[in-house]
Amino acid sequence: MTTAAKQVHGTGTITHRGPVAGVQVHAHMEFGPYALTVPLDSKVVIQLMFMLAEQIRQGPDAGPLRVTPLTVLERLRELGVVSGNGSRLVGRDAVYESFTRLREKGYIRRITERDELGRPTGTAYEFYDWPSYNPDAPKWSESDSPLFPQVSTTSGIAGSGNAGSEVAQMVPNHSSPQVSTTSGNAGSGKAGSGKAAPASPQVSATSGNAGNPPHPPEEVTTSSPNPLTHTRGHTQLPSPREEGEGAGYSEKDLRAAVEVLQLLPAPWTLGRPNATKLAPLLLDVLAREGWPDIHTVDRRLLTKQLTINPHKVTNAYSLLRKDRIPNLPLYSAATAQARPGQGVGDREERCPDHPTRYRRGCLDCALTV
Amino acid sequence: MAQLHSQHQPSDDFENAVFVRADEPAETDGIPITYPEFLLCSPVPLRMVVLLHWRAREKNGQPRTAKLIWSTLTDLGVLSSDGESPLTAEEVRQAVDFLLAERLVTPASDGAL
Repeated sequence: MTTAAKQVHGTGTITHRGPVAGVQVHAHMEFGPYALTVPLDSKVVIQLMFMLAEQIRQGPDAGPLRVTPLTVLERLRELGVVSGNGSRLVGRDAVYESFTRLREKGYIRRITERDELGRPTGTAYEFYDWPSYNPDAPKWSESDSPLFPQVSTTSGIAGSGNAGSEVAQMVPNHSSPQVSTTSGNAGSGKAGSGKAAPASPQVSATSGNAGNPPHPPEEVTTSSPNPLTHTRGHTQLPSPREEGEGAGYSEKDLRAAVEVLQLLPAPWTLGRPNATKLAPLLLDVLAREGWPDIHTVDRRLLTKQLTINPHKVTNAYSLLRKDRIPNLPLYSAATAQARPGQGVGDREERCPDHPTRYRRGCLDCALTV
Repeated sequence: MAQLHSQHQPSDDFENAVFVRADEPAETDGIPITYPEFLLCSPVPLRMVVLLHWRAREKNGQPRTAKLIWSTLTDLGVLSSDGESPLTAEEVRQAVDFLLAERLVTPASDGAL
């Protein structure tokens, strides 16, 4: 045996380290009811996919990489992700608010860990790259998303709509198998090593490890702590919208939203306490779906969308909270419905200065055109 | 579709049957993102969003321009990087310029941008 050969221990265990070449971003993250509409949310999801894959690659006993909201924040800052206005690195509030949005979408599930006596002992989070398998995710039916019937709460089929500028283009691809390969595993560099590096030509696109098809959620026993999430100091994620409803909105905005809800026609009319509870949700959804702000929105159009199909309404508050407000359509879809004579070709006529409006429907634009 | 083929020999009992994967299931809906691409796009999250939509259009043989992608994103309700403002066409154009400069995407064959 040569000297060089003697330096090798034949029985030394070899483990996989370092970044995995890539991840697969699913269509349902771009299109349909689970679409991520805030760029930072997409970034956080892909970051999570890399980090969780790295965690798997390292194995449960490797230890150093814990995936928590805090470590995700740290990694994003190491990567140089900047805040919305681009003036500084992204901050804790922005990233945690992103986690809150992801939780509302179903990508994140919050688990309250409990001891044998049922007392809360900590918080853990589950990440679902297929939100339809998250038991706590908002459920979408075909009627909720007629354009994306493949996004089902039972099948977990990813939306595979075509990327198009017209709604008509985003039809499901019926030729796609109902259960496609998941993203498999992919990883990133070691924790704390995330300096942006130039693209390496030798690192080519890959499908990662072939994953198994998504499986139905298993029952979660919250009294059985997850060993990977026993980092109480790192897994606590403030949830401002739970702890303080209305956080982030001005009194003026909230008052206007309350007024809209109080003025809904019977049987939808709400009293002030219930309207106050739903006001932040309404403001959230309006922003998410591209509606004008609550002060300039066409209230007749909004009211029509919230109160459509008023049959068998026995609990207006519950129906609004669970269905009508979360399922408020995209503003562009709502306005298209309101102007049936307008063809899809007019979508290209949006005003760049008023992206939420069409030229023909925008008074400001109409006055200037 | 993945298929499992058993190389079960008549003389074997069931426990000795060897299962092998006949083929890998095809990725049908995913957009591959490499780690270097992820790093390059990191500072501005919108770049990653635009990259995904560019590739989705490429995959579907659709035209790829900043304006069309902006229109799609706006229809989908995607917001500006601050998470509040409406997305502007200029933001998308800057993202496309970056992706082209870094050669993360290539222009359509007809050169239309």
